[in-house]
Amino acid sequence: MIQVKDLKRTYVVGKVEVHALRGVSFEVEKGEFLAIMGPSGSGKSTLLHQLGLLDTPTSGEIRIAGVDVIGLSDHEKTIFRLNQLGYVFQEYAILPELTALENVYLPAMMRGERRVYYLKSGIDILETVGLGERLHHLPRELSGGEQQRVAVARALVNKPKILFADEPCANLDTESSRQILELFKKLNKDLEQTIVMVTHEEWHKEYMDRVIYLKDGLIEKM
Amino acid sequence: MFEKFRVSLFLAYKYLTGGNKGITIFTIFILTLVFLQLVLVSAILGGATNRFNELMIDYQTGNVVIEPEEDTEYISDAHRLMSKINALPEVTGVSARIKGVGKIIYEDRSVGATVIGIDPLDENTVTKVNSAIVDGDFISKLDRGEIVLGREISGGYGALMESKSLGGVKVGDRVNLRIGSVDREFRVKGIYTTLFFLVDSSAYINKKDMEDILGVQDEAHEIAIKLNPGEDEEEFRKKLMGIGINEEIRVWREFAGIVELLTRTITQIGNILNLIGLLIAFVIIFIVIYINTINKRRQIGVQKAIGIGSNVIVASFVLQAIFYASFGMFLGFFAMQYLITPYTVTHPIQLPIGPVILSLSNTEALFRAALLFFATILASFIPAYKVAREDLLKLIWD
Repeated sequence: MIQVKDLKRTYVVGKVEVHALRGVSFEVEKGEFLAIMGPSGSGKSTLLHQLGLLDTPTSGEIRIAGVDVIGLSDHEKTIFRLNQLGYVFQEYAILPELTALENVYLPAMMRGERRVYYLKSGIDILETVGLGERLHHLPRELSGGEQQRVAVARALVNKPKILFADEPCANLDTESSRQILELFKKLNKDLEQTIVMVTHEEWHKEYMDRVIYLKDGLIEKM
Repeated sequence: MFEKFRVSLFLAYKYLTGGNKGITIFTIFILTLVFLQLVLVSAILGGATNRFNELMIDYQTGNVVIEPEEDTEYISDAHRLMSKINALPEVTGVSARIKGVGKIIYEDRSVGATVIGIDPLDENTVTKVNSAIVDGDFISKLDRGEIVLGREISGGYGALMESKSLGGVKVGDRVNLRIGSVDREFRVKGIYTTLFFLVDSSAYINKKDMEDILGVQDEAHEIAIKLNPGEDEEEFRKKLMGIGINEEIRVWREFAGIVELLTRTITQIGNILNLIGLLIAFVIIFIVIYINTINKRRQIGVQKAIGIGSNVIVASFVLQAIFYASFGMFLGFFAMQYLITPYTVTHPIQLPIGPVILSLSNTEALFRAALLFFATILASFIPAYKVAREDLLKLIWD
């Protein structure tokens, strides 16, 4: 599903060059639930941003479902993200003015789906994540765990090839974290959803198929 | 395309309904005021132009004026021509006038003036000068040796050009009228003002007196015609030509050159004020949308990350601004057409030319609305575009 070859990302901060990724290569299979772990500053989030087309690497190659995504224009990347990828951010990055259902169907609406379809998709996926009773609640009326589940539902509404999650449990208590991880595992098993998730919690490993450890911008082990 | 617009509209709607109501109301209120400012100048101008037109028709020209043929000084056989015109159903009144340009002298002061010889009964069917008397009386049919002066000649009564007047002639005073080599004494019977300095710079005497001075009979320099309300002057002109009147036939607008000049002057001043109003609207919308985009930086970044295009995000902010402007313009237009303008009908604005009722044409209102609309789009597009083009990771994390 994903092929990464010699991926490098260097940031220039003032006159200093920061080598966040120094040449990373690996592959992710379809239906795999992969964790990227490592200490702070190891390049986990940077790697996820490159894979998710949120950032452009300095050099290297990324192929997703056979497509050389680095060569895509900004507009093409936006469409690729919309149709092929789903994201769950560390913080509950849902829009505060929109209800849970509206947050979820927004990407489907953007795809040009008819109202009847995106409403149904939104309701179905919110029921799947256990929020069937909270469809019309605003984010401020939901708990942290519920908001993160809305974010997961939004990431899944367009049936993405890959779901990226950047420390999705960072702001959640253990119970809520377990609910999210179990949800991910369920999606992974039932729908063969490919998931790439950044985490620094060792106990999360029990839910994963495989872990890539990063250190100082390089793969330490996998 | 429609799908993208639908998302922009949806986001704009949610921002507006879910956002800060106070900011929305404040922005709409300010834009209402800006729109009112934009149209008010136009409405005052419209009202002032209407007032000028009324003054022209009611106190000077009537609706249509017949003048002598080219290279001819007088309309001859004026009485017969008047009867012919008076018989037409469109006509309310007809007045033949003989004009003499000369000097009016009082003690050591003199003023150059156009003196109009009229038959008062006829003139009263065409103009309302007789009702503009502020002191004394208007001349009557049998009066001889009596003169009625406009305030710009007599002086006093709030004359605009006091220093060039006779300096305060009163009713009952005697003045000398010199036209050519003829010098006659007249008693001031009345003083009038229409508040329109062009009309107030004339004087009226009985036509018989003027005929004596000029040595003519049954001749006129012009025949002024008042039409029934609602009659079309151009159509009437054609009708007069059709019945064989060969003299010059002119409608009142052709005498309104000075009014045109004043209108153009006021319009230019209005345009400058409008520009300032548009700049205020531009700055307000810019600030509101700019603050909005700054507060929503992270949201914009997340939207981009989940595949919402930059153009959709920009359009959502522009649509918000369009809503502010449209609502403001609607309220402004409503207030203007249904509150302020009707109020000036019962409480006219007192301007130096007299009471003015605001008059806003729909075309003018639409034009001002289009200007405000354009300013709104530009003012919202700039900050929204700037933020939406930023790197999405910066938007999310900075």
